[in-house]
Amino acid sequence: MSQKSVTVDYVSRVEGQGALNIQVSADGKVKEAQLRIFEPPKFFESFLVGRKFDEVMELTSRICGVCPVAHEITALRAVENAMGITVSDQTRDLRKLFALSAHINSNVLNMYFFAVPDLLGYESAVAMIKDYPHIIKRGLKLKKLGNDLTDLIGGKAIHPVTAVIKGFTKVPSKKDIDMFKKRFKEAKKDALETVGMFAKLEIPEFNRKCEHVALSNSKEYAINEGRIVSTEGLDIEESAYR
Amino acid sequence: MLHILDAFDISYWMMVKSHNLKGPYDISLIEGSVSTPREIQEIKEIRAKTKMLVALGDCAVTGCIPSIKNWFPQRELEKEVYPDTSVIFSTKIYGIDEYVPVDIYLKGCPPHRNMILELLKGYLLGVRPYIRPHCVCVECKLRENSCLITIKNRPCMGPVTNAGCGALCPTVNRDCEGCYGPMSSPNASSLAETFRKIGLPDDDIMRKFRKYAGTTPDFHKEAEGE
Repeated sequence: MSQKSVTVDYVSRVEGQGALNIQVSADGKVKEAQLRIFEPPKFFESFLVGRKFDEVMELTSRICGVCPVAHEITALRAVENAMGITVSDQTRDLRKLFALSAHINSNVLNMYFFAVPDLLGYESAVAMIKDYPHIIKRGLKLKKLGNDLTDLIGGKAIHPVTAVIKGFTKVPSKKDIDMFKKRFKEAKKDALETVGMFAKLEIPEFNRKCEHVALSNSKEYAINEGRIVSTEGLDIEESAYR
Repeated sequence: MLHILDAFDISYWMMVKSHNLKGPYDISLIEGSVSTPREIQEIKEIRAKTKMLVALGDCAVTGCIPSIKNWFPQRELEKEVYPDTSVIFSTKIYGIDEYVPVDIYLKGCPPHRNMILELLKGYLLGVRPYIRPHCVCVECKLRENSCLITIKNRPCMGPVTNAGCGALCPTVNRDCEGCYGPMSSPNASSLAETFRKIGLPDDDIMRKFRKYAGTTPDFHKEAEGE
């Protein structure tokens, strides 16, 4: 029986590096599909051994340029928990806002610049500019909003510097926070238009058995703290994660 | 930024485009260090079809933070992370100029956006881009910060670290940690001596130099703890 194979050497428009191998049988059915991750190992877990407690967040931040904030906050909380340090309500709230700013960055990047070109049949967001300038401009505007908030709290948008053990080396002024409040109220329109756009886009049906893991918190929408739960029944304390 | 992009054809950018061209290229901006046999081959192929090769960011320039692993035996690093180490092929981590000549270095983790714009604008105008060779202290003085070392006795890496960040950390009450790598001709041993006088233990001094640029000749001696 003859069969066809499709190989993608390098999957584009995703975070990370991977290749795809697909085997198709003679009657046109996908027999096997393999995603091969060739992103090089960086051994953060190993070389953190012997480093000092106050530089862990600075080092783990470099795991990723898209989600450094998550790695920083997680490292800070791990060290604080190990040392029995509790932070003030202000620090806790500001870290939550900090994490949310990064969620905006990451989600806008994924939705507008990785997913939308596929769903509308373009090879990139750059190629969409001519036909859909309003979509790309809205994406860039929302990305800038998230970036600017990370920048305001963290000093810079990628690998921020102000978040340290027990708090922040500098907190935003009331004036700056008020200005952002205004910008976010204005951006609500863009956010709702984003929801409207995705509701209308046709997303191919694809279901497979897959374990999804997330934070869960009975008191609020879990951002930085909660239990680690999964769709397959995992339910553990943060500190039990290995 | 969109106007600048208009002036260039983007031939290859995996994270952004699906249709990528095989070259040759006028400019290649290379992110990331080299740490696998595949990447050694890749960087040599890119060099061969590139007119101007730019190391973009500390990973490509010095190997940056992942290069801390170079001080561990590879088998110990692997054992800590992977149950089956037979499928891991990882070399010591270096910047790309370990393997190929580099035309321009844009330092920083990450490099400031102004530096990238300076490079692209310079290219369009046919003028040499101004890449700062001096240390962070110059920018710190321009911001009228008081010196963390001389006034507050804090171990700031500013005097040996390349400028470009606008002295961000000292301005937000943090010591410079050196994330732009060494400036041109830094006096690392003198700063290490200053840290010793401040009361920093030898281990801490070694860690400071073995962080963003421990692989460089400029920081090598201090990174080895000698």
